[in-house]
Amino acid sequence: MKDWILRIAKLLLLVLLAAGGLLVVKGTARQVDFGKLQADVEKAMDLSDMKQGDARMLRRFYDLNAGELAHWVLYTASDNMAVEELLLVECASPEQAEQVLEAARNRKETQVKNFEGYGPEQVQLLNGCVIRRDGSYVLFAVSDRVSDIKKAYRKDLFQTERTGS
Amino acid sequence: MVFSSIVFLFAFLPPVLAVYYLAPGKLRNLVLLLASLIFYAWGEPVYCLLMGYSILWNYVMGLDIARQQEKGKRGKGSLALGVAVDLLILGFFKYYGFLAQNLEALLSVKLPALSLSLPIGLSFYTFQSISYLADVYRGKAKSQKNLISFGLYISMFPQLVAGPIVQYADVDAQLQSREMSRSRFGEGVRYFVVGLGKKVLLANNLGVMYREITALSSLSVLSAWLGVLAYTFQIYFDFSGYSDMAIGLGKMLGFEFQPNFRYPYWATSVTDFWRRWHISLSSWFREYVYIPLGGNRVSTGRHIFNLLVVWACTGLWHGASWNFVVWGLYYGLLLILEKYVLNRLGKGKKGKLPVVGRFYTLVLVMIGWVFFFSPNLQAAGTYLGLLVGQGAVGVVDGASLYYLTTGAVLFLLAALGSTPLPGALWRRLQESDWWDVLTVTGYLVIFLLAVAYLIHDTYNPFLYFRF
Repeated sequence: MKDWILRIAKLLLLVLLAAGGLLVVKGTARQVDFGKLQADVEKAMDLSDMKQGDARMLRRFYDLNAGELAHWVLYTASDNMAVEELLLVECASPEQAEQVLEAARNRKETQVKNFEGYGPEQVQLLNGCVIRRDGSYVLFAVSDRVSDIKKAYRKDLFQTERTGS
Repeated sequence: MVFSSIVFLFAFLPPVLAVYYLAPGKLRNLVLLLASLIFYAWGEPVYCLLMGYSILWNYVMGLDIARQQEKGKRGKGSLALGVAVDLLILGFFKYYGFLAQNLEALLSVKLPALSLSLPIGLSFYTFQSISYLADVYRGKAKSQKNLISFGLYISMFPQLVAGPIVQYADVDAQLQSREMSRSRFGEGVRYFVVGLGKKVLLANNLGVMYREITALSSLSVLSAWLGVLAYTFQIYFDFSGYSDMAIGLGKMLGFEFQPNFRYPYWATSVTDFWRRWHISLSSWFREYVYIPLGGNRVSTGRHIFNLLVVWACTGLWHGASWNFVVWGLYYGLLLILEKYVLNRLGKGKKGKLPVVGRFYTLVLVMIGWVFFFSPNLQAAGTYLGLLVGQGAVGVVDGASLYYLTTGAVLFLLAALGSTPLPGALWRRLQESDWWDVLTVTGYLVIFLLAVAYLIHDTYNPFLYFRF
């Protein structure tokens, strides 16, 4: 390969590295105060018919050890026939967040199976849920206010008003 | 995607093997490269871009080093630039948070607190990239002109996400041509099935026990030791199982990778342990850090310094946290102690008391794992305290007896499996008349049991992914 081709290739790759680095920094979730994040997400969700879950419920529904997580909050519907749910977790590491995300996906699948056939509204709500991981944070919300919840969550983590998944 | 998953076993591997074997020889590297990209993209497709970048960057820099050398220069500047960018990428994704935290604590310099994810396998393929550049620079290998072959070296799915870390010079020739035969394929299948069994049947069950014990609100001394023993076996069967699967897949595809483990818990000293544990990582550090620093052909003081640097780096490679640094330095100090004190004291007695050596090594390794599994140094200190009774609820309690009795068979199997004994027994059975039937039945049983576990159990972590 000729010298000038190598030189241009190196230069282009270095420029690409710098541009990519900037994009990654811009698109990466910030480490935020969990209390504030929790308060903002709770405000966006209607919690009137929901109850806060404890470590036992976290284990039962998600097979997660509360002690291993940095911070978490769980709300489930008070009524057995309702599927509204909120799980917000700050994990000890992004890798642990991957496991929590998987647990949230499993929970959603289980709930869909539970209501399939006789609870079309519940299934519709479950299918419209938000499950996402951003860095060490995981959000799982089943609600008719999904877009507000996402907005509040993204606003805190990305310090922006943008929406979308 | 992980090897120990139904998707990999039944939806990914069979078609990849079929297409690979049906493809003409010239296209096999391309088939394998595409399969590797699909494998990698399965979890987080976005990081495929990063790996693609790494492939392109190191490919260009390898050519650049070769070009410099053609012109009579050494290519040191190109090597330095190539390695610097590799380390910059690794450093950013793996150590940014650690650096930001420590800069803020030490110098009150505040960097934006980013919640970055570590791209799977980044630590492994970055080390392979550096190995390539260094081998080209030192003339151990020629620069790779074929981008597909080079891309395959970096991304080959059997060893992409968790090693073994393949040094370029070892695999250079195999990238051009490799021997594929039925016997090698069969050997690969055997390796793979044994690895799958180690991972799914032993490591996962030991992992459940470790998780349950450490989740207890209070621990007795015995519980604490059982917890660390469960982790000790879990991490070995988890990682060596994955390495066996990687080596087996390599063989199925015609590649020969070096063994990554050689019964490390059978080691008679800590020095011996590190000749048997994660061999590809130790070899990498020896080849590309320790020897360039001067190795042991220097003064005692400088040698000790070299060892501490290598072991601090080894610790840091495992994770961006002080407890990994302490874990690495802990081994550095033990190795210095063995080399400069114990070996001199025990001159002539070496190898005469292997049982004592094995016990001493195992206890020290178990203590080391406490730093490894703890989230921080404070938690490690608390757990180490429990091991000697500080903060423990007595020496023995109901929970410890429960885990001791219910886990006895598992511990026994794990202990036996950590020694060369099953292998020796297996070799002896090879001489019997009913060997063929026994082999097929044995491997089939392991495979079916592992699949049954994968279908039934949801707990299937892989510890070394986070490195």
